[in-house]
Amino acid sequence: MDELLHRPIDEVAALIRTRELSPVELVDAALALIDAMEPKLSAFSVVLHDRARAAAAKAEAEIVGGAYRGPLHGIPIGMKELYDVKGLPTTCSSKVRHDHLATQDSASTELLEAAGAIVVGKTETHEFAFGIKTPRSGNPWNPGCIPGGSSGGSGAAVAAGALFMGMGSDTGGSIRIPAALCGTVGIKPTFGRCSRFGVASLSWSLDHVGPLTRTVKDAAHCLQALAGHDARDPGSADVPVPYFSAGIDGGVEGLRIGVPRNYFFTQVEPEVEAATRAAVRVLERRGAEIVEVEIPFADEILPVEYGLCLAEASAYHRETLRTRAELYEPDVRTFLEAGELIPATDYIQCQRLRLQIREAFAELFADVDVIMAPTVAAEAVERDADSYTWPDGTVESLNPVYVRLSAPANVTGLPSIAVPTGFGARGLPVSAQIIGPAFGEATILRAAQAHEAATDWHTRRPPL
Amino acid sequence: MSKSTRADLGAPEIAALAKGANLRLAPDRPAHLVEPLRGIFQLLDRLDDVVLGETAPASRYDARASASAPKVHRDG
Repeated sequence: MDELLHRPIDEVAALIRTRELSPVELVDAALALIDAMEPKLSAFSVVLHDRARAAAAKAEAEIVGGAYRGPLHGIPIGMKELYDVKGLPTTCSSKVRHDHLATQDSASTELLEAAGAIVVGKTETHEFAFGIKTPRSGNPWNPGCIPGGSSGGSGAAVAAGALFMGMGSDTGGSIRIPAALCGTVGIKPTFGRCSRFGVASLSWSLDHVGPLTRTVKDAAHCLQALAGHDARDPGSADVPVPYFSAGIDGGVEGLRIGVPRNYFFTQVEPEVEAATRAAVRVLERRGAEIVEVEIPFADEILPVEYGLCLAEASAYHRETLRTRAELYEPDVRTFLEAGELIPATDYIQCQRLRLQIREAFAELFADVDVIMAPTVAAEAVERDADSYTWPDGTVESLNPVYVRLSAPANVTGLPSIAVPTGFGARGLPVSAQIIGPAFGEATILRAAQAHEAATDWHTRRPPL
Repeated sequence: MSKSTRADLGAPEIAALAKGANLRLAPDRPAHLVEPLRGIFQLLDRLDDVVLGETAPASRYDARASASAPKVHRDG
């Protein structure tokens, strides 16, 4: 049964659909694995044994009764601690929210459960998604190292095989960073593609929701359940939702892949760069056309990301920062207090510049279909690290090391998928991302699938 | 030489900024904020050389709006 927990959703779903596998057995196996791994990883804020078993029994009855809902029916998943699950506290992994209780489900919870998925637990986040470490959790490849953040619990649990999918949220890279550091797939859809209703915000104009999975096709299945307009989210886009799995095996013949000559390769570990360039060559050998591109506004992307995120986060936390400041962790408290002191004119300049950056990226996609680049600049660091030392001796604080390469897709709102591309010098996963034009998820999924089909990085398992 | 007036921001100025923001900081907090805030302002100062022209802030963020966004204007 443990072996099944590591298989792609399509394979497991086929067994469930034909009643060779009961969701009850599958959920029990997932819960047993979670119980076994939690002392090492602390990936979960809460494990919902009884709720999950009840949902699995209901799913089994439905399937036996002929009411099979689709590929997620009976599949164990996890929700990041930012997501409302009715009747549970949405703690955001923070003492500030110790007395919270969700009175309704987030849109994601609703949609995934409607598709038949079984929520087996909620996964740890960096406090309020404001960081890249997820300090309560460990990386399954080395529990002494960070799983990345902010969706670190989901990254760790998915990589370990405890979940087929863990929900993440991505404001500066928080789906793709843990996906990269834990060796999973993670897709940040286009801004507006998936509803954020019922998800605690970090930064309204940069927040996205999306899944972390072990395979690209698993990501397509989950995105299918999540995508669509929702009037309850003011950022939600009323655009058609394609069938993401259609054409996913179509290959990359003739696909124009932009490889940046600046920004994305400027300060990255050599193994990260080598793995990304090897991934590009994989797609080139399968017929893709490689085009060198210049990333616009390279010096301005990160300042705009920080200017928007800090100010919006501080606005969101304005009341609790004045009433419960001592309950925040020191790093998050510092960010929030600093964000209060950014002048409104700086924030508005960032908004104006973001429009120009988006326009420049839109022009870039006239020449290429996707952009392929490293997801993050380095492997995971030790959990007690506060900075990163580059081979040339330069010391950099951790946030920009991990956010720098993911931020462009947040500032522009463009879709991006992180895929495993190998291992670095310390034996930890490295990753590349494929960025597409607005609402071009089907294209980046197709390119990512072509890479996955030609490599075996997604089949590697952490030594837990 | 930096043209920034906030590159050497210290704890007293931060305390004053907080007062203006109606944020009551604990006495030890301004000193904690010196380095982070200097770093943030250093980043934001990078934007001073970008010519924004008539670009208006988005009234509602919409990824589809890029098709109608103003053309890019930059120095150099």
